[in-house]
Amino acid sequence: MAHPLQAFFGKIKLFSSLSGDELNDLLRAIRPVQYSAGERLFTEGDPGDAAYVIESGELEVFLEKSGEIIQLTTLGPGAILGEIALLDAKPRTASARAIGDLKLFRIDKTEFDFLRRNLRPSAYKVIRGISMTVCERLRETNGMIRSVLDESGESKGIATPKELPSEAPQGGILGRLPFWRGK
Amino acid sequence: MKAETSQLSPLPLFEGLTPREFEILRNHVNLVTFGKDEVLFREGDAAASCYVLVSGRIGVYLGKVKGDEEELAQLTAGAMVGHMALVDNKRRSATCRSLTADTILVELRRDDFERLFWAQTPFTYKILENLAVDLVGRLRATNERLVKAQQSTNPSTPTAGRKHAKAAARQLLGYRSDHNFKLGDIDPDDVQVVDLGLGQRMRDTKK
Repeated sequence: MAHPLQAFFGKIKLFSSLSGDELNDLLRAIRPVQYSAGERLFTEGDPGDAAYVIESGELEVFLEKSGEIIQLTTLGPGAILGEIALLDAKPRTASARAIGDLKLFRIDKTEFDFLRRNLRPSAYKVIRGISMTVCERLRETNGMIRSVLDESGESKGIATPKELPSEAPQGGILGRLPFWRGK
Repeated sequence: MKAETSQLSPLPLFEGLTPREFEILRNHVNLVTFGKDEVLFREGDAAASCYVLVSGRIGVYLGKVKGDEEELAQLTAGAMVGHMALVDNKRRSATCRSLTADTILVELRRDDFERLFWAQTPFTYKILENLAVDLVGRLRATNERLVKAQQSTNPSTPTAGRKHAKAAARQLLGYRSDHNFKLGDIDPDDVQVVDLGLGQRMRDTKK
């Protein structure tokens, strides 16, 4: 039995292994939400209470340091944001806001945890997928650390401010480490 | 060699399983032993299984050749190594070696775990839950550590960055130091952070 949203969710890697019934199951935790340009989804330090899947539009993930906005990445349709919050309840590590008009599906953590406590396959397929993402990030970060430790008898620090790439390097929770320009 | 429930039940990876589930789990894991200095796996090897330490001591290293490696940690009973293999199909992130004469470990193979997972076996979900919470804990701790490293590094003290990077590598792979771990150039501040990371993970899995 195919669900109407299966065409959309089926294209997203995290949900692609869910059957119609399992997606139905998961949908009790999912609600459509909308934001207009500049509206914030959440701010760094907020409790991690949901994950988001972008249906249309774009958002930016950023940090604010002494009034300066440091953009880490932008995300568009099909992208997932904040999925790590579904695994633990720690505060958000960055802020997110809509760039233009934004439509998303919001996966509520409390509802998701209900499915998880009941050992639903739908929840655990998603948990497995998120775990795979976490492993990828751990490996990327590992690669970065290795390049610091791999010195030929000479100590090197992690990139000092003037060596920073123009885009934040891969790794860390967000897939982008929060390095920033300047001090 | 088949594992006893009494050997499996104290292991954090299997926290939350019922006695009946342990009886089934026994059929899907192997008990393996390694002698002193025997290698469990090397960095870069294909990864096919996860190991949980029952007794003895193992060392974790970056680098593949003895003598040209960096020790990250020494682990004792309950610790797990190579568990990313249960989730993805990539290569080993570190080298692991037995440090005692009769090191005993439980081996859970990736293909067995996959099969049980796709068959919707409930205890597999419990194992995945423990695994997922552990992985996220490491990612968060490493993230914090790397931000700290970047903040503390400046061109005139490159060793500070290196020290944090080494501590981050340990944390990344989830290895705390036990009381016999030789500190080298790691200071107590690093150890405390690693301890906190592990402590948090264990508190979380107790729900």
